[in-house]
Amino acid sequence: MTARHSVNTRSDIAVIGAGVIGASIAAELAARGAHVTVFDRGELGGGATAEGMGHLLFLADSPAQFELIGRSMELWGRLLPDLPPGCEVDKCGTLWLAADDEDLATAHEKTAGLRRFGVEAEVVDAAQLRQIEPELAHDLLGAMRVPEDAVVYPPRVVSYWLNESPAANRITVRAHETVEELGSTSGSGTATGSDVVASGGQRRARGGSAPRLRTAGGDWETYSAIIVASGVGTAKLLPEVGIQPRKGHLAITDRYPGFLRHQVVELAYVKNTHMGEGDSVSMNVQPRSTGQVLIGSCRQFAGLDRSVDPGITKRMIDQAIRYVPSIRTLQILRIWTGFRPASPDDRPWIGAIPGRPGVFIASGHEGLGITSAMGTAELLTDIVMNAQPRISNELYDPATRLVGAEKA
Amino acid sequence: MSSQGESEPGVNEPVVRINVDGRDVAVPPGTTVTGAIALAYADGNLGVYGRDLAVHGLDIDVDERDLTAHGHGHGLAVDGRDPSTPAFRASGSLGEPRAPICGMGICHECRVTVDGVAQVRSCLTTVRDGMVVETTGASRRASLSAETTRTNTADRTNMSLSAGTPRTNGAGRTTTTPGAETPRTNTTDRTSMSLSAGTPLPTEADVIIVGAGPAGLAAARVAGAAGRDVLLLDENAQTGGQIWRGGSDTRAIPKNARFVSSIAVVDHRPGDRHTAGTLVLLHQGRLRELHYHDLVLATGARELFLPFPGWTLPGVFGAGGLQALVKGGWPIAGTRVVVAGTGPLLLAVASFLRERGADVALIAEQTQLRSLLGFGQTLLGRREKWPQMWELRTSLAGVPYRTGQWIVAAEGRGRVERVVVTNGTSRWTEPCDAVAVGYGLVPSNELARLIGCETDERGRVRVGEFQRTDRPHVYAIGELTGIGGVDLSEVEGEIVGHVLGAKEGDYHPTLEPRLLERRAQAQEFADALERAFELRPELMRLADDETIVCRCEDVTWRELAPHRAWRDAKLVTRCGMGACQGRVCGAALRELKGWTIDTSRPPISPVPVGAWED
Ligand SMILES: Cc1cc2nc3c(=O)[nH]c(=O)nc-3n(C[C@H](O)[C@H](O)[C@H](O)COP(=O)(O)OP(=O)(O)OC[C@H]3O[C@@H](n4cnc5c(N)ncnc54)[C@H](O)[C@@H]3O)c2cc1C
Ligand SMILES: Cc1cc2nc3c(=O)[nH]c(=O)nc-3n(C[C@H](O)[C@H](O)[C@H](O)COP(=O)(O)OP(=O)(O)OC[C@H]3O[C@@H](n4cnc5c(N)ncnc54)[C@H](O)[C@@H]3O)c2cc1C
Ligand code: FES
Repeated sequence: MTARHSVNTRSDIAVIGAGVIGASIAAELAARGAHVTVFDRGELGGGATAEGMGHLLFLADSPAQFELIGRSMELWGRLLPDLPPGCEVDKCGTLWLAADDEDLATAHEKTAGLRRFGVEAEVVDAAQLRQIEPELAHDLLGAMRVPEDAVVYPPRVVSYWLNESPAANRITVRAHETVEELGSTSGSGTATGSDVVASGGQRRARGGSAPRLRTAGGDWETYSAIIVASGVGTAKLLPEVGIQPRKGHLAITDRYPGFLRHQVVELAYVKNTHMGEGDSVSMNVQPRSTGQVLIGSCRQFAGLDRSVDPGITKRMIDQAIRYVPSIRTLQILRIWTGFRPASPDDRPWIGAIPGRPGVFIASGHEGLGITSAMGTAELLTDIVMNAQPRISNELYDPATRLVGAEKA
Repeated sequence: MSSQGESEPGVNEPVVRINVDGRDVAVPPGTTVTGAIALAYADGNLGVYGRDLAVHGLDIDVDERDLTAHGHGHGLAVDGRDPSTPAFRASGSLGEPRAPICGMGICHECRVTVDGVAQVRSCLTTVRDGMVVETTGASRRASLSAETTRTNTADRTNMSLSAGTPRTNGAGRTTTTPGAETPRTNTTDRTSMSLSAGTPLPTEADVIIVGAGPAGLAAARVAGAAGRDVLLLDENAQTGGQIWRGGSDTRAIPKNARFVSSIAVVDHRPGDRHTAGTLVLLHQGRLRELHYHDLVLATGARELFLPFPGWTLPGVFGAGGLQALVKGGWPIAGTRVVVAGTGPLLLAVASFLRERGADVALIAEQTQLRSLLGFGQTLLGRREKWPQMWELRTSLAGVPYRTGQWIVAAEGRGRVERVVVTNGTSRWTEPCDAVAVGYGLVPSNELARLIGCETDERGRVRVGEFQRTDRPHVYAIGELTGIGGVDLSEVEGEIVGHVLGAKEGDYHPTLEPRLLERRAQAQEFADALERAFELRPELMRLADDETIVCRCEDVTWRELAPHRAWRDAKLVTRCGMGACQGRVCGAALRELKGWTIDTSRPPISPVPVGAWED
């Protein structure tokens, strides 16, 4: 079912969006020899990528989920030591906190699950927990500890990929340029034609139409492939996919070095996060390498309204106090909101878009875009370059999900 | 500035005993923690309530050490003191020693641990008996346990000044200080009005005025007299704003208005059918909501700090900053100070510091004599300014005032020891213990921007004839709308008072033409000032590659070089993301690179996590 598009590696590929997804794709494409132009309507890494927590975490709720995340974490593990200091890499590990017996059972289950995939994980009991994180509430029953999880500062990683990574000289960045619409050389915006087989130079496609894009106030530009990695902006460029903004609030404190050592998350997080239309709050507290403490998190479908919601902020903070009581004394410097690019079926979209020759998508990573960025970049590059994908994109392939939904 | 008001502090005035980095210190009530820390370090081991000692010329014995107090006027001087500025904290990334520069809650360089609560701005905190203060220069282990927290909250509501009770210090000896034997019962010190412990905060007010400086006070007086129900708020413990606050200069609260102090406005919510809008306030460690019908923003201005090599050394202050710190008890007597920058504020500050016993070595005014002479003519045309000028002239007799000179660097090991001064052609050094640099003021517009009021390219809130902003029911007055000095601030406050006092509608019969005229005159004078003291371009090029521009995050000039805009630089370098939220570097970068800060986000000033609890 997957449509393969072969693209001459010397021709220009456009990536729309310089978030963590678009930037990691650009770096990967460039590393494999492509010339890439990256567009962003704002600053590099200034979208969801700048609004989130930057937690890199192993999750293995299903083998399918682990395939992308596990591979991504493996790639992150190789990159982290090379990142410049501004990326604030901290291999702090994660503690998944158990407040009741049900949580504790979940901890055991998840630990076994991760181990099955060779990921280091263990259950710590209440006494051990108190020892490793003395600021946690004393009534907690234990936790799952995943020592290999890490934290980064994503916008800085984006600028590393686009400006400093080994093949960055093949990347052209066009910041503050909005892509208004997509089209194809055969005229209409969404011509169905045969695959793009660009040979002998850019901006030409043989045997059919080539994808093109138009920037605000600019002319149409043709590329051999166009990759839409526009976060919540994907909704405008590829409305058929149905990406929706899922709002989150975060609060950051002043610097308190040593206050916490691990990122701490409530185990109930898993229950709260996935889908459902209602607002949800999950305790998620992260020590940054600066000594600051980031407090999250919550999920709301509330359009693109950036305002801070006092009610949900309070719920989020109450929850943090419940798990980390002494956090009360820390001073909050700033509260902000961000928008996760949420996918209607709760899975990222990675691959070619049916009915739009030469157009690919990498979006809809919701709250795991940082974690899954590198695996996504590798997979999409494999697809674009017609290489044998290292991991299966069955779950993420738009083709299998847009059947019958082809645009007129 | 010299009159002591109602009660001359004497030997009987009680003291507040606190502990700073393990040292027991006795200080006068009303001292800020910042002042107390500097006092504690000033004489090596002991802080002494010295102002009255200076007045009365007493010899006292503290901890078996003979200390002779002497000094000029109300200055503090204790034998054996070290005039250097102690480091209050180590900077976030580089670990450089840092000390306060602004004295008014802006720079966040004065953060210390108070009673186990870390990262508290000491310049906004008034001493309380039994307080334990730790700078991060000393013992770094701040206890953050839940137990400590609870004790603190209890402490915070305990207002008793157990003054005069001899206490055993860490070494097991009993310390005595003047006044110990005669505790006064009427010592509800000036800060206690701030505590207003029993005063429940209303949930609604007719008119809310934010900022109890000259503008806010004038507005409260007039609107209150006209029958409006006025609630005046200030995050500071005292009224008076930047000019009148501090000790005896505190102004009375207008008769017809209620004043709540030590209450910071941290957020705003737009209005709905029932209310014009709602302020979110941090009061006594808790968040509170307050609805208003009319809102007057009088949040004033703060100093513009321009980075130059060495400006992060302890001992380099803002000019108004050092003044504010000294008002809060910071010892200055016997300290050799260089005052530099621009504008009449330099003279006011130099004169004040001298009155408190400082040795003002030099006043370096960056403006050329030529433009000063032009301004002098404007001044001569304004009779009401003559006495003020004469007073300054007398109080500064003998202090060299040099025009066309400015500081290009501060130098020293761990603290300022000298500055490099230039006149554009040659350079020389001036030894000093402290530097007070003032390059003018910028509006404190965070709240206005959060509300959505339009500001101009210099951050001034745009207002119409009657001080209305472009948001309904929101007015702006004082230096928030432009830097114009105390006269302009007061008259704008009066105008708003009349507007609020009048009936609905745009025409205000009560608004006497005389007021509008006064405002026009004051504005004219302000414009003349601005022209005369325009900053020279050389000041924008002082920073070298290694100069830190963002003090909170230790971001250098070099790191900012590749960036074109504020947000772009911020995302990559963290510039402006630290505790002061770009208040210091943002204003500087507006001057240096023309960058503007994009948004104002809540909270406007830091709020403890626990404030959200019920
Ligand atoms: C509160 C919060 C916490 C989070 N915590 C984590 C976490 O701990 N771990 C984790 O892995 N993930 C986390 N996430 C999720 C993660 O941040 C996102 O999944 C990820 O950043 C998405 O990256 P992206 O590149 O798809 O989108 P973005 O970063 O939004 O990038 C898309 C870019 O496309 C640009 N763009 C859009 N439309 C156009 C157009 N028409 N023309 C040109 N440019 C355009 C935008 O300007 C933007 O820069 C969190 C998210 C939030 C909101
Ligand atoms: C540091 C400094 C020193 C100065 N020294 C002199 C001097 O010696 N001589 C002289 O003639 N002029 C001096 N000025 C100028 C003088 O202060 C102004 O001309 C005048 O005070 C302006 O009055 P205002 O009412 O507009 O603002 P201000 O006097 O600045 O008053 C504003 C008030 O608002 C409060 N506030 C701000 N934000 C909030 C908030 N979010 N919540 C609650 N309260 C808030 C502040 O605490 C402050 O008390 C100085 C200015 C500064 C900044
Ligand atoms: S001196 Fe306290 S914030 Fe600047």
